Amino acid sequence: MRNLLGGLCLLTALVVSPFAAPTRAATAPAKRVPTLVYDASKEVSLTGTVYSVKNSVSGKLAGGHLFLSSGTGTVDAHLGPFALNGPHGVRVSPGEQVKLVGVMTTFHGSQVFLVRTLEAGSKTYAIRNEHGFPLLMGAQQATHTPTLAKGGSR
Amino acid sequence: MNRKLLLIVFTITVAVVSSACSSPSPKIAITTAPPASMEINVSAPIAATVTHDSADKGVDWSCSPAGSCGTFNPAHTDDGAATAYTAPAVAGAVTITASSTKKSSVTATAMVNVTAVASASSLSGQYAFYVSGFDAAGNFYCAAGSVTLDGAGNVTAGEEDLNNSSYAAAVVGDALTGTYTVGNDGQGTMVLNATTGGVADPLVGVAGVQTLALTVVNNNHAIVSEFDAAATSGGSLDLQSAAAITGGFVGNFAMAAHGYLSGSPWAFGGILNSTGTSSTGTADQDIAGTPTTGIVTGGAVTAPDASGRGTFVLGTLNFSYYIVGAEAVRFVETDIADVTGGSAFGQGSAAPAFSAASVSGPFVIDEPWPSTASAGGPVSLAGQFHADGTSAITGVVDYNEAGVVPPGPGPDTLAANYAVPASGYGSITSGVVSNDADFTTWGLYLTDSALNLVDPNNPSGGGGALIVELDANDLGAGFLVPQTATAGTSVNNGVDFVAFNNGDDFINSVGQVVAASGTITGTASVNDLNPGTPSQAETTGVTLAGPLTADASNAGRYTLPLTVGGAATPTNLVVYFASAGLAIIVDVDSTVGPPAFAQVGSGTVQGQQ
Repeated sequence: MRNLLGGLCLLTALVVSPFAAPTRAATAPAKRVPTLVYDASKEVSLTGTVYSVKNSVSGKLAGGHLFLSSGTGTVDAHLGPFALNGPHGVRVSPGEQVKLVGVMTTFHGSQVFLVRTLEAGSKTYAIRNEHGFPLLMGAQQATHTPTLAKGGSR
Repeated sequence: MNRKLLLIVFTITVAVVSSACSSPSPKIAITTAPPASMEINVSAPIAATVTHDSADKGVDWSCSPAGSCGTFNPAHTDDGAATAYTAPAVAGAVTITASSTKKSSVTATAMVNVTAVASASSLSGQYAFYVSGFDAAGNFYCAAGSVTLDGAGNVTAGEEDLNNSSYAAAVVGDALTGTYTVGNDGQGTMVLNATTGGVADPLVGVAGVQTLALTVVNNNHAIVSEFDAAATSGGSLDLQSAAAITGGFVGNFAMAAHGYLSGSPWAFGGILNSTGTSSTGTADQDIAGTPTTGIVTGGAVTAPDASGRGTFVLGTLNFSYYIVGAEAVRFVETDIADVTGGSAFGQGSAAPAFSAASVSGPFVIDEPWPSTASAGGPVSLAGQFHADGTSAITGVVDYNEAGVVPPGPGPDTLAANYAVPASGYGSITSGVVSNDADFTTWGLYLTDSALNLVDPNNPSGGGGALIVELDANDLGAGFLVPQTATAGTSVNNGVDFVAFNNGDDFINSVGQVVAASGTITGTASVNDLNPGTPSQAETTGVTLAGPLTADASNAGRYTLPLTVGGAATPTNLVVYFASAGLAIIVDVDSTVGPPAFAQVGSGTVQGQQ
């Protein structure tokens, strides 16, 4: 599996680049009505047994869902729009034991677990980055250091 | 008088009386004639007057060839009253007949030459194209290229660059040949045979055969979508200027792009000065929720080839570009795993002198999917606002963040501040969307006010700006254009639409719709791919129908529950008119049912000319 997490470290390095010094401050969002936010400080891990894998579920967040039986009950784990796609997508089956890292949140009154990483057997899948944005499963890691900054960024 | 004589006299008398009492035969004339030439689907009033019709039985309307000559509403009129004749959907000669209802053999006729919106000859010359979307495995990809079209259905030459997040290396400079068709309503297909080193390139389309569905908007512009089993995507095809290719990628530009950087969603934009051999600029970016502004960027630029294709570098990122015009350039990144595509538009001056007053009055904003939201995934946004020319924006927006839409009734409100320095490298900040805290900040990159950002060869458009959303929970790229009208005037329209629904499908479509009497009807070519079970993979002729209802509180905003392919439940769209010939679509299908069907989508409606 491609090292997606390695790529994220690379991106983190990019955004603190001295070549990318901001000339105007990004405005802090004025949070009024909380929407669906991935708060990495609230990340937890959980393990459970898969009992259903769905590409989509009416009435829930668009995208793939994994339903688990865990020690505390059932969990609706949201995988985002890409995780079940293509040859690099998540391959799990009902009855399989998995470990998830992510954030539990509420969407339309129901709890949903936003999955950042998923371990199944010997495989670890990166589903989201640390900001909660869904990752493309098939993306290869760049062989260069990608940056817009002139002169490069290290 | 004998009996015989009496009978003769009686017979003559009866004959004379009978003749005197019967009315003369009616006569009919078409007094309001149809135009000698009408475009398909267009309507015109026609009227006829009947004389010697004392009972005022009126006129019956008919036409030939039967079944393909159009319709009349109503098909019977009173003497002198007008009916609305609507031309058929196919081109050809039509004979319109007005018949006296009193005596059907009394007729008057008029001839109409019904013309097509477009044909293969509409597309003649060298055109640049770009598309972005997803392949059948769900990998993001972008492509840009140039095709030379002979006006008779042949792609005689071309060149293409294509990058896919799953490829070990981008496709660079493939040669293209092929064929294309254009129907009466402007819909058609283009089949491109991509070769590298004289051999079919398996990385393009299906084993080197890439099929695009298209709708001709005018002779200089078509909307396109990849329409094969390999991928689904949307984009534009635009006539290239030979003079601009000769002139090269030179001048001051605003730019914006969206894609994926090593798998993470990424949008960037800014301003760029290109000398033709090098560039310098200032850019903003948002990598998966980490926005950065004021990035000093630039790098080497190479001159375009005969296809208008050259390369440029921003920082360490490599791009191929294709020139459309002196102030319009399409580009695609060609780095491994970093897949982005976008446009650069000229700023109209060697020494830009923009100000906040450059953004003044009503505007429409479009930030289409595949913009991306944190946690949920796909997002799209559209709206309209008034800029005060100084610092404040107020308006309304509709959006869809993975099924989260304005709670309604009606759109959310938008208020924000904006600033524009002389360079045109501006910003929208402190955004407040009434029910969604995620939309707050955009980079704002002003363009030449003479440009049309959707149809770059169109001399009307009023410029506007490219935008990049720079938020922690959302990112994406789009544009602002002046709102010059709050209703459309074009009967025949091209339409494009891109969507991600429920998790099942990536969808792109291009089609043609007729807007008349407050309704939309038409057909589209829909390509609906993985990961779910495709329901409309490479499907042509998918029917579209729905009522377009004005929002009484927000002139220019409309709702459109569109029945697609006869589905039991319509797709819920909101439409914002930017001009008489351009409307922006945002899909507001929510996870909140019934029905609980989340579809994040966006598109445009473009009047055919």
